[in-house]
Amino acid sequence: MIRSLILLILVVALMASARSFLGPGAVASSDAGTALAFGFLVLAAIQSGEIAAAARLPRLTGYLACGLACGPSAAGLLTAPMISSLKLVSSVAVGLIALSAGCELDLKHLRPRLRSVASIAGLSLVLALVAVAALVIALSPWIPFLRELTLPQRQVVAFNLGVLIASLSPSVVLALLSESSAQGPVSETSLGVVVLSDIAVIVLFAIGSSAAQQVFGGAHEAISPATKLAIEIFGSIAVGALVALAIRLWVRHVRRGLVLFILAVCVVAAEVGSRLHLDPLLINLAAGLILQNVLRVSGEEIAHALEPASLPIFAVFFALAGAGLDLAVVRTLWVAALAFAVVRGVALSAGAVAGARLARAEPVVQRWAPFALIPQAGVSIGLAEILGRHFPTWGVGARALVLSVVTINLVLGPVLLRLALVRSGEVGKKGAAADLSAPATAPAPTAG
Amino acid sequence: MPPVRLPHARPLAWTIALVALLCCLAPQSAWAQLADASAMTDVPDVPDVPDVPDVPDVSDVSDVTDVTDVVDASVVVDAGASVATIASPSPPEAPPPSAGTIARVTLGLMAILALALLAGHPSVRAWERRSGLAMVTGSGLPFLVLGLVARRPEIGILSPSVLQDLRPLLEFGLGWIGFRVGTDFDLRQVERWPAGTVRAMAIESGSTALVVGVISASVLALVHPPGEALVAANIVRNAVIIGACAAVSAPTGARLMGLLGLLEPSAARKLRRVAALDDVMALLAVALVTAAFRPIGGSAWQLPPLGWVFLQVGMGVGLGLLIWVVVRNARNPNEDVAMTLGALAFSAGMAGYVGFSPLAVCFVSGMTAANVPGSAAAGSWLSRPRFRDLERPIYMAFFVVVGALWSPHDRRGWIMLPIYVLGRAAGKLLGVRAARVALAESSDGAQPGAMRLGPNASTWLALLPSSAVSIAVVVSARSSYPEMLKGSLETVVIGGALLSELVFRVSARALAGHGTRPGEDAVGALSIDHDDPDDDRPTIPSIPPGAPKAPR
Repeated sequence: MIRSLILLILVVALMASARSFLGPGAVASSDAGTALAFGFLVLAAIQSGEIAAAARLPRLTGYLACGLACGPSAAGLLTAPMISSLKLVSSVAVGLIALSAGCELDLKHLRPRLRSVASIAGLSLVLALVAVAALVIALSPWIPFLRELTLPQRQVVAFNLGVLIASLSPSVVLALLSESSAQGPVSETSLGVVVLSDIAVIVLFAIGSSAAQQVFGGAHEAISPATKLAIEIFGSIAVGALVALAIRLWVRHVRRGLVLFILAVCVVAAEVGSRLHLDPLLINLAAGLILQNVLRVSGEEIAHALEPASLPIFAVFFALAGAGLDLAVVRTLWVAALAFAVVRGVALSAGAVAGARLARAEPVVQRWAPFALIPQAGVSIGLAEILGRHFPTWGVGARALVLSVVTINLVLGPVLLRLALVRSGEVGKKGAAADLSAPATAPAPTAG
Repeated sequence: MPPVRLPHARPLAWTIALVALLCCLAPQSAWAQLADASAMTDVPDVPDVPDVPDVPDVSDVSDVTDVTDVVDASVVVDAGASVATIASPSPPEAPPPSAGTIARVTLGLMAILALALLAGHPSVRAWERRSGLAMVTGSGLPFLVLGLVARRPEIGILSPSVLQDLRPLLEFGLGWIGFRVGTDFDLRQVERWPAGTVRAMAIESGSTALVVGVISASVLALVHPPGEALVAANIVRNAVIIGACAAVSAPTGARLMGLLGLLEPSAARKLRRVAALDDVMALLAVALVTAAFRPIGGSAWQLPPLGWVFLQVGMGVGLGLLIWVVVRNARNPNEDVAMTLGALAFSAGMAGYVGFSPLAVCFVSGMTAANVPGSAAAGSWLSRPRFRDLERPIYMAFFVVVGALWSPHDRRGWIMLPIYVLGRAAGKLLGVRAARVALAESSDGAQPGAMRLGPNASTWLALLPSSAVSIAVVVSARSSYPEMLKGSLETVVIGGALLSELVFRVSARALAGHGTRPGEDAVGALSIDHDDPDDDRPTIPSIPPGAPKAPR
């Protein structure tokens, strides 16, 4: 830990000295700024992760803390343009995380748990949505961006806020499962629940934003919200199928350099997805699911092959997530944010427990799976930004509120989930991490 | 008769299929325009979004009294509005691309990236050697052309926004090349070199740089567009950069001569050492240029040019030590790769951020990391298997971006190209002659085992072609000075590298009087392959899985 701390101080000092170079009139190359920020995040976040691990916290918490501390709203070592220029890295990271998640979801293996997964995901999401929306309606006379609205308008905003605040984080859950090599009923159920909820949130958000468009007007769109939703979901799945096919062909015919190929595929998916308004998470999730369950490529081995890339990717992704949070907003809204975070947590947990009991899940799932629902990250932030852009009258305030809630859940969620995994005895069940020094192997397609 | 089977033919088939796919993706109009000489029109430069110093943080609402109740709600709007101001600038939305464009861009990007990966596949490389294409493909030139073509607006695969996302690869690639050259420079080996080697190199490459620099300065002054102001400092800067590029020779060319039997193995080895030192000379020149002609004005640090030189060296040494320490602290191979890549990006980014050349700073870093006292393990960091798989794709992607950013439309580049090639050959001949005279006159020349350049080796040293480092030098200079001669220096250096390679190969084969020998085509002078059987340096042992850390 001491060694990591010294290294972290060294890297931070170097970064601070480089940042002090630019005077008021100086302009540095954006490419250099991007490379500098990327390198800094890799080095500093990995060391922060080590320090967090030594303190028995998830590494992910270390990455987040590193980003938060060095981001524009705190130490300012990373500027807003630097963070924005690393958008591609974030998208690739989301793609890799989603691909790994999809590859780990063997539907045949998961079939006995599908009832629990659906029951927990459905009940928890509905309960959290209703609870948050009710709280929004109840507090609307005191919330400035809602005060002037009519009741139907408030209801629509409440629904949208409910969807955003109730959303979960597949990336955090997958990263933590990967980091702790967890395997067992809690891990499998949690992963299934967050993936299913994520898809449900995208659909609900599209419904909510289209309702908002009906009620508030907003910018004129050439295509209807329903068409947009269909394009986003089915387009993402179609592109995901193409991605899966490309990976399958590579595995079958080339084999070598699979990690680099998948990275390249994620770059293309991110670039094309952003232009087509497709969801990179859904694209890669679909690709992973199709690879594992349709094309019969061993998804587990693909996920294993991706492990060497996961360290820098997770470190940079979560550090960027931390850096993107705005502490000033949280400082301002912490009371409201705390209230919403508590209501969300209680509602999600209650829904999860009820869902698990309804599906007669194992006691260990009933007890610990609710903790997997607390983390919240990129999906909510991304959707909140869309709201802020499309509905400036109330979306901007809603975005600030959602960001504050996400900050609290992003800090607390991983710690609680790790605690649950440790207590359920699933940590380390998956075996040792992959070794990059081993000869480059690619997963073999199974017969058929 | 058994059927002839190509080993690992599938990757090769994929490569051919992807090239065919790329050809099909280009619209007919694009082919017509490319074939037409008038196609050399200016492609608008990708806007370089500068990293500006922090603007006053409008999101800072810390001065607002803490909210103790949701009732104090005006803050919600204020905070929200301020967040939106900084984080949600809504740019005007571009018209949606057509389905055909999207499909073309998707498939084109996939094909380019897949080709970059396939280029490193052993079976593809074996096929390149068998077919005699190793020199061309190993040099990365096809990828350079691919980038150039893919950026054409008619083709539109590398659109400005895609290119903007990929541009940081340039800084990283420069850092990688610099680090690679630096780690290959083992100071412990220098002590074992024959006396006079460094002097021979300094005279030979210094003379070349001087001759080419003087000629280039004169030509640049002559072909200067009448409407533009002639800035003497810029002419000097550009001349130094061209001179530095000309000084670079390819050590692999010497190996080729050994293989062809044109030189004794010991003479070929001597020649390789001198040629390898040329890279150092060029990188030093780049470092001096960025110190003397600061690309970033108005910085908070004010130093004299010599101060910038010291700062560059200090930064390189500091970052080299940092790389050494973080890699030593890696607990497993995954962390080793992550930390090395992160540290390299950090070094390259920091160098570029303060207006230095990532190539020069990372060279010093690499040299430091490879020569830390007591580090018997340090030697050829990036030659370890886990980096070998990464190296070729990184180079190829780098060349794609370089090609996409190259604007070969400025006629000054094409005017200067033959002058550069001839000037370089003349400078090398002059330099080698001067080096021979200097060595013969010095007392070192009389010592047994001292560096001697025989007439045969001298001629070949003069004819050695440019290496890929010369392209990296000019790319680095362009990155520091984006307006530099509108990209015509790239035309000069890239074209010069190709021509010198061609002349060297043709003359070497003609003199050798026989066909290709095994392994010959694998050592194209521009080649980025570093397989070197003569190399006896120690290498870093792989960290076995789960191995305990070395005691420190």
